[in-house]
Amino acid sequence: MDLLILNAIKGLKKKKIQMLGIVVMVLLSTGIYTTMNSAVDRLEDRYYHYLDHNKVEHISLEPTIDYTKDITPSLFSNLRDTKLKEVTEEEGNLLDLYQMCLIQPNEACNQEVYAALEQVFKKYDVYEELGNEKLDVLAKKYDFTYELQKTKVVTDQNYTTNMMPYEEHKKMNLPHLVEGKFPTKAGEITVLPKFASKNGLEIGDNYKINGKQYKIVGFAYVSDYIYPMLSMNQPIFDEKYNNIVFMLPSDYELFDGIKNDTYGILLNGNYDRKNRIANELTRYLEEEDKQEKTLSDEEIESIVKKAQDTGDSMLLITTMLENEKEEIHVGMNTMIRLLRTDAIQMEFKGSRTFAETFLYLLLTISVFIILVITKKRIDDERLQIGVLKSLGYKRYQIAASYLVYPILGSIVGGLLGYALGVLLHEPLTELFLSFYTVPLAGFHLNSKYFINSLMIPLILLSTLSFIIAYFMLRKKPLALLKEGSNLKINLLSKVVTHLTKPLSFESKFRYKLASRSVGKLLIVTLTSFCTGLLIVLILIGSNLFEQLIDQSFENLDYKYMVSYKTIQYSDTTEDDLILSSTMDIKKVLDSHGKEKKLEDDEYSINLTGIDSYTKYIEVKDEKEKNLIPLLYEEDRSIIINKNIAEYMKIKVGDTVVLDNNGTEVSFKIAAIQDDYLGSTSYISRELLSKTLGYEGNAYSMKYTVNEDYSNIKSLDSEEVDSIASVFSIDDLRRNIETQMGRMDAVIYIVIFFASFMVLIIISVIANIVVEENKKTISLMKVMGYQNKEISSIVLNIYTPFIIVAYLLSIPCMIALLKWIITLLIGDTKMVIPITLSPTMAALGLLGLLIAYYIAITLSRRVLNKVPLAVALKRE
Amino acid sequence: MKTLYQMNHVSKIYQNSVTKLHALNDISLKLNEGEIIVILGPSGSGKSTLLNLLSGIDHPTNGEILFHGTDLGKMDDKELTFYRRNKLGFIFQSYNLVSNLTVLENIEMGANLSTEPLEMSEILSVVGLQKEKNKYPYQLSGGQMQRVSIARALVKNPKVLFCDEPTGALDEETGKKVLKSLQEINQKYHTTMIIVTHNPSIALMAHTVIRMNSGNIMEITHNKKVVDALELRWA
Repeated sequence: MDLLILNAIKGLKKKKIQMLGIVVMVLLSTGIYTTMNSAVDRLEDRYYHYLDHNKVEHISLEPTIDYTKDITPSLFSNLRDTKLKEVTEEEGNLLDLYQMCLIQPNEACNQEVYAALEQVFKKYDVYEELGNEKLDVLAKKYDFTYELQKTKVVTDQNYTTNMMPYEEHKKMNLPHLVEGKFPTKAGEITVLPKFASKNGLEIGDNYKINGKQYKIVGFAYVSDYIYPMLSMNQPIFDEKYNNIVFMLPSDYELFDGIKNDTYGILLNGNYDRKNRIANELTRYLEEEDKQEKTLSDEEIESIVKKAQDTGDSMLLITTMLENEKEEIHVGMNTMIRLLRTDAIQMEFKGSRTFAETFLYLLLTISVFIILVITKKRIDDERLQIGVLKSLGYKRYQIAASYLVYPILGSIVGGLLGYALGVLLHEPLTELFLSFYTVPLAGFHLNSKYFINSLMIPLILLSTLSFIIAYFMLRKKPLALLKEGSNLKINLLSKVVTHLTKPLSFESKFRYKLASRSVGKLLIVTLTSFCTGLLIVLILIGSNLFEQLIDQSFENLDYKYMVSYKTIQYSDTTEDDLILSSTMDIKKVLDSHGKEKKLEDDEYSINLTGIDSYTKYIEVKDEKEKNLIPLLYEEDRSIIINKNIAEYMKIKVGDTVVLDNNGTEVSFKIAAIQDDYLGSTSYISRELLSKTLGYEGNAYSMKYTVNEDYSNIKSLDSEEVDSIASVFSIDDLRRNIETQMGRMDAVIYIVIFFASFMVLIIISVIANIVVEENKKTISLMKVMGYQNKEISSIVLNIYTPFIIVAYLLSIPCMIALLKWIITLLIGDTKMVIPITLSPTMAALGLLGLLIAYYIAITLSRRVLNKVPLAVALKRE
Repeated sequence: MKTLYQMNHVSKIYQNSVTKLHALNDISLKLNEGEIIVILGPSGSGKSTLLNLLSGIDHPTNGEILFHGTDLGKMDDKELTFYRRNKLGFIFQSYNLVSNLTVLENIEMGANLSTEPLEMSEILSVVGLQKEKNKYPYQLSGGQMQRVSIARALVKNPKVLFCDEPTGALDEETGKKVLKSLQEINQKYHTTMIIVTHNPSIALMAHTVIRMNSGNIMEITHNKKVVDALELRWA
């Protein structure tokens, strides 16, 4: 057996390209595996410690102030004499109204009044006082710490900044100093490190925010902004334009910005941070059958103890939300704050899954290459094998000699891949830090990755190779020794003979060579098909995103969407005034009034109340016809978008019956807008106002081009106080376009990588084809065929199969995506168009063919070197 | 008779770091067009080397080889390729058929090289394989495979047919039949045949016999009477 192995090792010299193919596959797979895991380790190792050490909140919740019960007339009087003494005239009128409601409730005391009152309370810190009182009680009961997290948001040109007061003795969400110091004097600030580097700022530099000059004294991370999504304007963190600043509380109080305060809750005890509260909370909120029973204090104490013993934070949170629904609720900011702290866990999981999947995927491809090489060797050496068998060598002994390739390939590829992975983890870590602000752990060699990089390829490739070789060596010695035993052809070749009869000799010869080995043909076709699937997926994804964004932005001519904390009233026609509401669809009636089957009985739509003179909103159909006038042709008309229409199977002329807080209201479908984004519908603002019980000119949002909203310093303080958020279309578009720029890079990398894989596999296959056909190639040279003619016939045999495989992958991927989206529709309630333009399809095919032709060109050199003397050798 | 080849003081030396092998020593000869020429000699006599030089597969170390007056030694690789393509045909001991092409397609492989190939039906008739045209090599006997090889070489109507041990893998009866085919082709198409062999019996069917040993020409004889291939007796 030693001699067999020695013979196999000697034969390696002639199979450099094939060995290289195996080594490269193993290298790539283990390299990516090591890189991704090492980079994620540097984030993850420190992350959980960071959460504990910096006392990052578990959740943010809002105290529920019941303005009909929680405030007594005497308390209110006291407040009017203290915190509510210096109010504006309008605020004073509101307080007077409320005072009357406390004494004698009447019709005027409605939710609208209470919502307005809450804004006044927040402005004068009364809300904080009332909230603290409630939370003090709950904190004792459920054993947690709470603290109001204060933020002011300011947008200045393209820059969005969250300002925060720096307090030395914060109870939670402690900032992490990266360099320099925290502010100790007025006018001093810290900024995010990446923001500083992208904007060329250093410690000691002056920096202007909202027209005021500050001095940068340090760089700091904000521990509750690990994924620092600042606002809905900027769903993807833009390290150049997004910043979080700490300043002294005194500076903070004087700073003008949109307030966005929220209560953070930190559970006392050792809780498992690995369970993602965001996911579990979403599931909990969607549940229908929640417990109605109120727990006793002893029961609560027992649950608290159990939660602390098991580290189950959700047990405590859900108990609190269930039992204290009158006192506390999930606020507007809850989910976004959870996303900021634990979205990174998705990255850990996703990246590690990707690394493992990729490892096994590439190793599987390596197995195919080894399969082809082994089969070829066995075919070439059939006489020797026959002799060995007749001499008494066992099948397993001969099969073992074929382990040279996988063992050598695994060891060399594994070691190189691990080394490469270690080297490349740093740039990947830096890339992660573009998205997450979290301190990094130092790098340390993880023996697990080293062992896996060696052992997984070694075991997988060797085992499968042995099994393959053992199976292929099943023929009896006599059958192997029989001359011409290698001349038989397969069924496919015979079929191809019939099909290619009318073709030219070159074409016939090509197809015959391709069909000679079903295994190789299958590998090339499958590789091209899988690569095609991947390329098509990426192209559709990018195209889809671009389409959705273009479609959405196409209709938006306004620059800012201003949302208000309470209902506003105005007659202005300078801006587009919008009133919005969300209602569930209860019924759908056809044009004859007959009730239709409801596709989803829990489907909500967003109603957007607009005026006939709207300037900035376009509501158009497929043929670009303006649909807004249709809202005013008939009473109670509504326009729905294609997403709603297709998902709920609603047509023009149908009537939708909506649930307006327990009351059914119906509207007739006047038209369907050509748009797929969200579940959006349009209705007359006046009609929606009346339906919701407001005065005719109520609005909650404004679409405007007024540049004053780019910097709230230009607005008066009363308006600033009433604004909940300013949504800048330009900011959003720029933010998304910047990320799409990155996504383009990802697309090109994926296409390049997929093509590189094709290149490796086809190079190996082409090399094997040349070797297999050496005698024929030599014969053709002797007969007088030129090298280029021979290359054209022998090497260019797979082009039609590659093209067909790629073309087949297009409808397959489209069908697969549509099926996946159909499965997802239950959750997302969206209809997403899946298309691939001919240009993009051609681009993908081009990438694939370029890789193929590079592979062929590399093999051409080998072909040109085949000597003429091979044909003259006697067997 | 017109001179087809003229070799003037041709030598071929194979040299590596260790040894120097004189495969051919100062060979001079003339070969006539339209003849059957047999190059006879034992293993290592230089007959295959001579065949390789005449067919342009290899270059001489010294001397010149003229084909119709043109020096083959002065041709580059491309010119030599075209020389083989347009003027020569080859028949090998091991047939060298492409296993997944049919008989007809193997012959087409040769026809594809010529601008005016002979008719397929004619070629198949000459080699007696009309009924086997759609069969694959694995379905043929040794003799049939060699005849396919002959047909492939002949279809482009070459000036010269080089045959390297054409009967080496065949039994006597089959071998004689193959040689008979070659004789008939020579008579019909006046194709010059250069047959390399170690079998002295074959020399009797040749017009010119060149005997070689150790890289030297020992003797060149011209047969006054040519024996029919079927009447040859194997040594």
